[in-house]
Amino acid sequence: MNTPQIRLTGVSRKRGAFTLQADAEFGAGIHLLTGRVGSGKTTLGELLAGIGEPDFGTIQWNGGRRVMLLQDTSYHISTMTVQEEAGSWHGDAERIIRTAGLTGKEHTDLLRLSRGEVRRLELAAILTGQYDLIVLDEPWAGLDEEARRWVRQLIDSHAHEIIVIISHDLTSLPHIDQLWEMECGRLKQLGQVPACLSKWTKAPPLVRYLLNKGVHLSGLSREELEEAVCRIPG
Amino acid sequence: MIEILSVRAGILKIPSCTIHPGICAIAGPNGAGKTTFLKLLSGILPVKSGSVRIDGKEPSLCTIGWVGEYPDRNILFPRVYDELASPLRFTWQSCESSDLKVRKCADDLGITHLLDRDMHGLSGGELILVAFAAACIASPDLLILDETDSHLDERFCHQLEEYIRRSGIRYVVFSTHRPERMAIADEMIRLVRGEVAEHLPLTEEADHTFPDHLSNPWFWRKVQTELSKGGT
Repeated sequence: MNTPQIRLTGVSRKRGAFTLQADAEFGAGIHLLTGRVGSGKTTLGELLAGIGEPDFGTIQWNGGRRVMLLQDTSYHISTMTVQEEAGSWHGDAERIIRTAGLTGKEHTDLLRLSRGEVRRLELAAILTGQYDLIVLDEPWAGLDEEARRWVRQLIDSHAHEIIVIISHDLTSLPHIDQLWEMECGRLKQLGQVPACLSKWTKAPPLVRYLLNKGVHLSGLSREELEEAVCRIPG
Repeated sequence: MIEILSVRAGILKIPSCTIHPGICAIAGPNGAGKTTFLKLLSGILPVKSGSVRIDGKEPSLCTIGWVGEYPDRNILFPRVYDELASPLRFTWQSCESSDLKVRKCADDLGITHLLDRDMHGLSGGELILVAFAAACIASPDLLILDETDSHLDERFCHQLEEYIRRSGIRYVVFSTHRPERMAIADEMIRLVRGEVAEHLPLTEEADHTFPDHLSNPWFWRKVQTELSKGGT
């Protein structure tokens, strides 16, 4: 199996007063892209997924280029029922419905599902498909604790592909390999987790708190954070 | 006080619940009735049995501000200025007075530079600020934030919190799935299958008999207090 890789060389894209700039290489593994609201994370996700084009620079692929992007789910429904929606993806509707935990609701109208159920259906379809790159833009929005755990477990089984997670919600993450930060349109690679965590100047409060307390952090996943919290001295 | 008495509406079954002035967080799994609860408080959902009173008044007679997860779905006007002014214009306030309020509110939230912009083309964060400003501008008795924090970063949430504290809005009720957001509330209600499963005050000094855990609001309170002391 070819391990996929994407290389962005001199990529830039201008929208009004905002300019996105990126030089980067994304390999197989789970990447977390953080940064402030409006810093350009979603725009980068769109460029990676190929639904936006850079003004300058190139985006090169190695080893396949099947791509899927998750954004705001409620805009993505294209059919009437759970069965039809699952069937509109990649052929294995039964597996999608089973993964989403919607067995027994095959004939339910999509508009009668809760927001969380619709999102589970789409995530199940994306994460059971054969993609080389999956960009997940705020995958936890609107999901409760149990569903968040489910998404984490689903993502954890995808280390052979390139997964890019864009999120502000840093207490629900799966295991993360690489950390990236977007700052006013500039993409910066912070490095391999956990080695880069101590140099993360804009780390979220919990990470700063743990590092201040001298607690070693083995990673950013929910489980790793919980484990670190148990080791707070005093 | 907001007093809910013998209410049955949609999935909700609430014999009695009292919310105090301040900030109240609503937690609970998907489908537990969080949004229904907020609709009940706001008067969007009329009660068939039981009653809801905000300082003795029916919700429909109170001024309510509402910001949802996707504010772009509730925009009425193409220009930011007009969107902000709309709650004032709808209540027949004079042009002079509403202009003053729009400029003051925009200044307080740091969005004066957006006033002449089109709503279309604002970034996600700017849109939330504008929706938030429009919800606050008429000095609501009750401000409701329905999972507004889903797409917001830490600093951004903090900015909104500071504004809420300064605004003097009597009741703020917000729903969230993020445990760290609970820490800013004065009380917390957890709904499960339409019922109030837990209703806790979060106002006393942090009780350290609580274990350090990511689902514990007291733990997040401690994290925030210690970080703000350290000045980092």
